[in-house]
Amino acid sequence: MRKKIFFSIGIFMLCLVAYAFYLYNKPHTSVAAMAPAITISAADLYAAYAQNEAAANQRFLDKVLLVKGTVSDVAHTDSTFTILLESNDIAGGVSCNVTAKNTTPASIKNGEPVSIKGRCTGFLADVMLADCAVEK
Amino acid sequence: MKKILLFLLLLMVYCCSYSQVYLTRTAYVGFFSKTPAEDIKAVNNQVYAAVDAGKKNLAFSLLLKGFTFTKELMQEHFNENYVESDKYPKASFSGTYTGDVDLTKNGVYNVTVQGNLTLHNITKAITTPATLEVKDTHLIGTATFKAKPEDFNITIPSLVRGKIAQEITVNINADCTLKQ
Repeated sequence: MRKKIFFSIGIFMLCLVAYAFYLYNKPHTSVAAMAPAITISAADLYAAYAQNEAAANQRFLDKVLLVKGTVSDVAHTDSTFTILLESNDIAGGVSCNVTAKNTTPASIKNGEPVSIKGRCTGFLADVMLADCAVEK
Repeated sequence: MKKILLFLLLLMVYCCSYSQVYLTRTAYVGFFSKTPAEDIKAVNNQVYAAVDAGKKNLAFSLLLKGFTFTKELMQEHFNENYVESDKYPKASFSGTYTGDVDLTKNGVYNVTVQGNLTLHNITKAITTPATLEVKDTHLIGTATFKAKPEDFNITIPSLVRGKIAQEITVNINADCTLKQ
């Protein structure tokens, strides 16, 4: 009987360790595989942040957003690229850092409409989305 | 006539020296921690950088939530326990540089950057060698320096202290374009 209990505790501990190890090494979940929580236009998103950053953070921060807007600029960084979406304000827009490999910067043209999915990381002159994927 | 021309020319030079502002919204900041137990790397490609080549000023600003880690749990710990990004969402640097940079001549120039880094509500003076590369209308700044988490009042539990380097290496690469 004692042996049995000992054995089952052993198994349980082993499972726990394995699960902890799995959690510890879990790779960063790409936004590309997640469903967006909120769909919004770039102009509305920027306006929400420009008006009240704290309230907008409550609504959008850390959430996966699907943002629809017009491309105003594409900038290359080392292994990724960043698409800037226009807002109605000249001061800023929505900055989307694209990490998904399904699009090339060459296929994104200024002035064209686009839908981008990404995780909202906050506001810094522009509304920032990280880990973005361009939706076709 | 010649005098007027000279005056105009001087005025132009004067004006230019005050409008040599280079900007980018997509500078890169990455940090790296290497210990025998674990390598940790995080990158942020949405950093704001401005270099005023006339006044030799420069400034950086970034959102801490913009750092992407390879492991999800690390990103969570970084944001929730270490830098507390909900409370202190931004990190910034502002400072000056010394060293001659000829903006009319393409090339790589070595400079020394001195300024204040604000992170986790703590401001600390930082001095680091850096390079500024003039490439037509671009000014590309790169720097690498080390920072200690404890200097910014970031407490790391002793259980995981061994997995995080005493000094974190920070890499910066900012490709700024001349603002017209």
